[in-house]
Amino acid sequence: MPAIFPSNRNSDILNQILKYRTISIIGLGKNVGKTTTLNYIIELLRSTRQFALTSIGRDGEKYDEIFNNPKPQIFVPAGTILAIARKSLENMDISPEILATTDIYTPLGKIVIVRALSAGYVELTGPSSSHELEKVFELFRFYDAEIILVDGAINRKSFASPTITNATILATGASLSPNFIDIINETEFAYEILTTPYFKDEAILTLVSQIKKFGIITYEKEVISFSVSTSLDLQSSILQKIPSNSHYIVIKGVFSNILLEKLFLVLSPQKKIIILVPDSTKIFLDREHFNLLKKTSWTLQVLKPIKLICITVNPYSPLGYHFESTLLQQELRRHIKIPIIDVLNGD
Amino acid sequence: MGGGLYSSHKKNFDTTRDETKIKPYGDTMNDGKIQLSFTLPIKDGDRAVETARQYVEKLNMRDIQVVHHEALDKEFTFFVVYATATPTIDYTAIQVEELEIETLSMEETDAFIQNNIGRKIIVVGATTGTDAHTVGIDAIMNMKGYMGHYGLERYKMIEAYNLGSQVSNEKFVKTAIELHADVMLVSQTVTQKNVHIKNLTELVELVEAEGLRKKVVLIVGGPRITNDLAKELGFDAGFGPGKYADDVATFFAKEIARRLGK
Ligand code: B12
Repeated sequence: MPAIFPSNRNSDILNQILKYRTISIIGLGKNVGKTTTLNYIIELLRSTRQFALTSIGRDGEKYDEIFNNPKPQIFVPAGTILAIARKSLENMDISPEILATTDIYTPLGKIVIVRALSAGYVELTGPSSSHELEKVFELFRFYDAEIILVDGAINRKSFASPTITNATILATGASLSPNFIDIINETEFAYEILTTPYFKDEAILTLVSQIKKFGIITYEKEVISFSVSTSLDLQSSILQKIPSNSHYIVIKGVFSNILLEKLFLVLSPQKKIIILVPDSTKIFLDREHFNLLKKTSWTLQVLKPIKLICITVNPYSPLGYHFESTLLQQELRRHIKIPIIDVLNGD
Repeated sequence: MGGGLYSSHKKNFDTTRDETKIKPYGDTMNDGKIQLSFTLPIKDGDRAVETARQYVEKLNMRDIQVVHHEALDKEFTFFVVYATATPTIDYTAIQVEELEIETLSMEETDAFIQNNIGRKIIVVGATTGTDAHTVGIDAIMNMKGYMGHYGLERYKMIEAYNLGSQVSNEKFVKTAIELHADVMLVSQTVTQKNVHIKNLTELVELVEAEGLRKKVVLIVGGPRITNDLAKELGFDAGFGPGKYADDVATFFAKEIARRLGK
């Protein structure tokens, strides 16, 4: 693991990180450098705060389960607190002190909370789902963790919801596509979704809270909460009840492609309409649908924003090709207004 | 080297069985003998045999004998090779997860559900995304089952809904919500370009975003599915080849009972 030299950039990122208690690292795909990003942050945090680590997937294993490629390993300093599945205890070279055993099961065994008594490599395999993460966070805090880092899995982002973690780091990289433009487009799209504008009109928010799963607030401030069990798709009987004077569309679950298509059937794209979703992890629109939405007079806003600290890029793909790091960063900076770092090259 | 099945090399190895150093067994303890069969995309002939031999050498094998080679067509050759493997494995260090529970029979599972859950378990299954392979999910769910293992539809204490193949994740999740499913079973066969990976993480994410994750047992199966992969993707369990309805029914019945604190 290369040492990180003190630089302005690194101390800026560190200062950002120190503002939050729980930080998620999400990736746009497999092998985009989540593990390298995690190692970078561990290195930044070393000897600043007591920190704890877990992963919603499986990371730091020697070989990749999907591609069978050798993978970067995770190196932790002594004192680090970890939440891992039992089976991972066999795949690490730290001396673990088992602090607690939980009742959270994974396909790799029960989750245990351990403290690294010595520094070394670990395999990170924590709880797979958000409600289980919350239980683990409680235990971490009980054992005095000041900062909690949660590593992602593949392209999963649900745990970056502001109801779960306070801030997020996004990892992107060459492994997404051998096509340079695809990487730029996909990263910009993810950034745009993650930083969807924040809705703060207090008066409207009290009306929003009256809506259960899916509903409408009209221009006349009439609230209609439809009795549906999900907004994934809407029956035509519900669709017909959406009034043409709808001002706000409130979605308390997933905002899917199908839902957008259905809304287009009953509402004019020229009308000023604001679509509200709980947070950006509920937005499941693909790029085509998202662009379609952008062409209308409708706007999409979130009830809770995600604090995106920075984006990390890995210019290398395990398939053998790579891109010029500075070029990749330069291109991304055209539309992305938060720090972009190549964690491999330390700049 | 003799023409027999195994090399007649002097046996200069320790022939006592040591659980910390287990090796393949051919005809003598610790002889490390392995039979490999594989196809190379090359024309059959002497050059092909030598290529196969050198390839196996690259796998760190010794005493290599290409005992069979056969042209599959003009450009493909099939080989059978005997060789000696050198690595050993520490059998005492292999731990079996508590997850590997003993499989109950259909009657035992029904009784278990009756006694511990007290109502029918609702199971929804589908092959999702663009995948059109139905045989796997049918093997698990259909009344008649597969290889002598009855499917979930035959269980008295299971209400099974098989949605078939090419089901979108949205539709699958929506149906699970409407049916108040306890268990979601997804089957994936096509793994070209890793389409199954994206499809499976999308399902997990939809289930999370709909606030359903806590309420369902989420299980994936298919010819390339392992428990380790299931963990990485965020599923509760993964079932691969050689697993049947009774295996998965035992797993989810016990998992639901465990979640109920039983
Ligand atoms: C039959 C078949 C088809 C039929 C499917 C008909 C149908 N109604 O299902 C047809 C002809 C339509 C078909 C089409 C294609 N096929 Co096809 N097909 C097969 C074949 C011959 C058998 C698969 C099968 O039925 N196995 C029997 C079942 C019982 O086994 P199983 O699925 O593994 O299920 C067991 C376990 O895995 C587990 N399980 C499975 N699912 C689940 C789910 C749960 C919840 C649990 C608990 C357990 C579980 O339990 C089962 C019992 O033990 C295989 C080759 C082979 N011999 O395996 C190719 C194969 C699967 N097909 C393949 C391909 C590539 C295709 C096509 C893409 C071909 C093409 N180029 O068009 C298309 C795909 C179309 C699409 N959109 O999906 C490849 C897949 C390669 C890959 N890994 O990606 C294979 C391996 C052939 C090959 N060697 O290339 N196929």
